[in-house]
Amino acid sequence: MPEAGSEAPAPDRASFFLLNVALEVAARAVAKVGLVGHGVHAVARPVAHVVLRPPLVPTALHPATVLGGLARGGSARRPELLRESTDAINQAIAILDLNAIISRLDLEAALDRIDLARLTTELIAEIDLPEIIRESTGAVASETLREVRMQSHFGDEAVARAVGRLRLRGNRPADATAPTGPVAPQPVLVGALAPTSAGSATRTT
Amino acid sequence: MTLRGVSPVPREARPFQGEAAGVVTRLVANAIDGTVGAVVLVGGYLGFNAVLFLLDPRGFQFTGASMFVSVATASVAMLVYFTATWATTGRTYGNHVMGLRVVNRYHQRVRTLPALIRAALCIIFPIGLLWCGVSRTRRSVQDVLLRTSVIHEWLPRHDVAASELLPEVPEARA
Repeated sequence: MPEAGSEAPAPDRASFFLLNVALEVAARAVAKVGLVGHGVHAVARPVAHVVLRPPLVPTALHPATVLGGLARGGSARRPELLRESTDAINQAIAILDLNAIISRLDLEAALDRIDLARLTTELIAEIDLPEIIRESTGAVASETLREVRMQSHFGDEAVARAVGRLRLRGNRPADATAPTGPVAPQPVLVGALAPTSAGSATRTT
Repeated sequence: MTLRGVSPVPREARPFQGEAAGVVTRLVANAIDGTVGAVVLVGGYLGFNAVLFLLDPRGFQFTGASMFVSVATASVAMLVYFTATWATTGRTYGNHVMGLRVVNRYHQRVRTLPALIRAALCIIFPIGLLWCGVSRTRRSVQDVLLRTSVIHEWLPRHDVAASELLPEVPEARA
């Protein structure tokens, strides 16, 4: 580690605690200011209108007219100002010694505070890395095998559905099965034995 | 290599991992096992005759086995095959291909004696498998008698804790 880093006192937990408190207070203050500003804006808008465009005053003398002229001037100068500010930033970057700054940072300590294993696992799970590996390296045989397994599972579900319908038909009372008119489909009853419920009934874990 | 918390099982297959397999999957697995058994028996028969040919090339002729001997040999071979595979890895080759595993009521590997009894029951009464197509818990007659299950488990190894790799069951199926 550089000498400058070793000379600086290491931040302790109390410092971080105070920093967190300050951040929370600042965040709450910003939120409150936003609310207050919204209310002030609603109240002050008619007043500002009167102030900027006072009645009985020639339009050329309105404060709004003066401000509009200033805004137009600023708009015309904006590209130039942007260019100048960009040049200034570029000059500052050229002066800055980023290597020296980075060498003063205690990156190892910062990395130690990050649970890299958990972060990596979550990342792999999120992008489904196993699927990517399978797609990139999987042989035709494994793809076929996976398809056979999936198709057989769908076959299981189809059989479970058919058996469920038969079971439902067998349990239905005799008078209920004698229709007097057009029989409406009963999706709710059939759905009760759909594969989702059949699958849940077979969960063995 | 299996990362903790990341399942190598394809995403579409994760919801039914750990569930009991249905009759179609199990029939396919048993068909594969039957094919394996047939190949082994035919190979054994040809190997035995090859030995006879080497011993007496001039007087060689294929040995004719009686039906009883053939069935007995096939039964013993399948008995050994089923028992050994269920008691060790929990899956025969057919189970392995179809991503199935035989487990006991505690969701663990079956012991040797139950595996032997289950193998014998499967050989004596193979049609009992069809009961899993009717059973609500997808158990065959052998499963009901021995309180075993055949579950979907696509993971290649059983020593990885299932709770680490199996996804949470979606609420629709829970």
